[in-house]
Parts: sequence; C-alpha cells; structure tokens
Amino acid sequence: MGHESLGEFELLVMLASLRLGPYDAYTVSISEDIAARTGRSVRRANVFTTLQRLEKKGLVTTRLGAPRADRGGRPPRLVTLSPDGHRALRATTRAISSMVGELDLLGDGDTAGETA
Amino acid sequence: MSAPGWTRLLLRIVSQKDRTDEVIGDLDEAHYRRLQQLPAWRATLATSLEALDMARAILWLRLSAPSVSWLDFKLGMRMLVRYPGLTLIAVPAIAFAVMAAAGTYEFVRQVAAPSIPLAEGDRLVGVLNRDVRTVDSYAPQPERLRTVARIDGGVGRDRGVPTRTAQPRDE
Repeated sequence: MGHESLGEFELLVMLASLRLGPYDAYTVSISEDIAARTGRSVRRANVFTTLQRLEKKGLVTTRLGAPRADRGGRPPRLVTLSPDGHRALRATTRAISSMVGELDLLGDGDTAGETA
Repeated sequence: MSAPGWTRLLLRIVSQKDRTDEVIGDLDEAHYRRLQQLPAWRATLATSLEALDMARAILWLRLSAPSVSWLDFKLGMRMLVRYPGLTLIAVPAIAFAVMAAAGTYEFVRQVAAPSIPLAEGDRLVGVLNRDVRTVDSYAPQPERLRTVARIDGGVGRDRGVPTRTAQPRDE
C-alpha cells in the first residue's frame, strides 16, 4: 500500500486508538478521549463510521473484547492499528510537523498567516 | 440500566448482523454513563437522539457502500474518457463485431432452416407420428377394414401408449 493520507478526524481517531491501546480502544472510549483532549463535542456515530472506513482501508484491525455488565453484557469491538496504519500515521504526522516547522502556532505571538 | 427499548430495536434493525451487539453495547454503555451524570429524562433524551444519529450513520454507510460492479463500471467509463483514441476504435469495432455476428447467424438460420412463408411461420412445428397406420397396413386382414374405429383410426396414442379407444360403431 502506498502512502495513505489521513483526514483530520481519521488522524484524531487513530491517535486516540494508539493512545488508549489495544485493550481499551473502542468507539465509546475513543469518542470520550477525543472530546476530553480536544474540547470538541464528538458524535459517536462519526467515530463508528470512521473506524469502519479505516478498517476497510486496512489501517486498523478490530476484534471483539470481553462482554461487560455496563454494556448490557455485550462486548466492545476493540481497535488496533495495523502496520499500514502505523505507517500512515507516521507519514501524516511527519507531513504536519514539517509544514508547521518553526512556526509558533501554540504561542501567543502573531504568526505569518495571521499578520499577512 | 439499558438504553430505551425502541432505540435498541432501531439499531438492531439497521445495523449489520455482525455489528449489532457492539452497536447496542455502545449505546447501553453511553446511556449508563449519562445516567450517572444527568437526570433520567435527559439521559433518555440524549440517548434517543444518539440512537437516531447512529441509525442514520449506519444506513448511510450501508447505502453508500459501492458494489464492485459499480466501481468496475466507473473505472471503465473513466478509461474511455481518458483514452478517446481507444474509445473511437473500440466502440465501433465492438458494434461491428456484434452486427457481423448477428447478420451471420440470421443468414445461416434463413438458409439452413427457412421458416414457412406465413405470419409467424417460424412458430409452426411439425409433428412426426411414428405410429401411423394406413389402410395398406391392414391389407392382410381385410376382415378388419369394416370401420374407421376398427383400423385404429379412433385410437389416441401418446408416445405409443393407447390413451383413448374409440368404440366400434355399429354397422
């Protein structure tokens, strides 16, 4: 597979999956992780469809976990990044990092884009 | 506590069979967490809205999943547009090949098995009766040549098996 470019939300979902790990990453936890870290409201339906799309692209693999009482005895579908997913994640973050470069986007100072 | 029954039923209807458990499980878990933070009515309302949103997303996902044949068709059209020279040669060539094949078939059919010159003559069929008896067949037994029935003229046969026997008429 060549370089698979990730959309912004796909990138967030894959980063959350990586952060939560193979035993805790599933639709609900990924939604909450993204919401908690980015402060944006995340619709679970979007996470669900994004995960299905990533799975179809071969960037993540899924398996059913153990049934849980708080889920009515139903298992979550746990998400793991595939080797292609790791490659795509690295390529996308590398591209973003190289584009950001020395720009001080997180600081309070004006950026070139804002002053132009 | 589980999500409202109708939301679970809705997701059961719209989701793929192998995804039903996880989708309803997600909804149950989200509802369970909401109940710990919100009044019951607000949790129920939020879960209901989320179930509708999830059902919409699942339906959209299922309806927009392109089939392989559709992708092949789109690829074919794209190739025809991208290579107009090939299109100009291939399309008339295929049309000519179809026309030649159809013409040859029709010519051979007319020569080899011409139809009867009647309206819809090709629908007429010939029936070959392998059990034909003529008066000559009874020449050695002239005593049987008294009535039509007696020379089996009134005997119906289906593939050689008598199915209807005419009664000999009185002379």
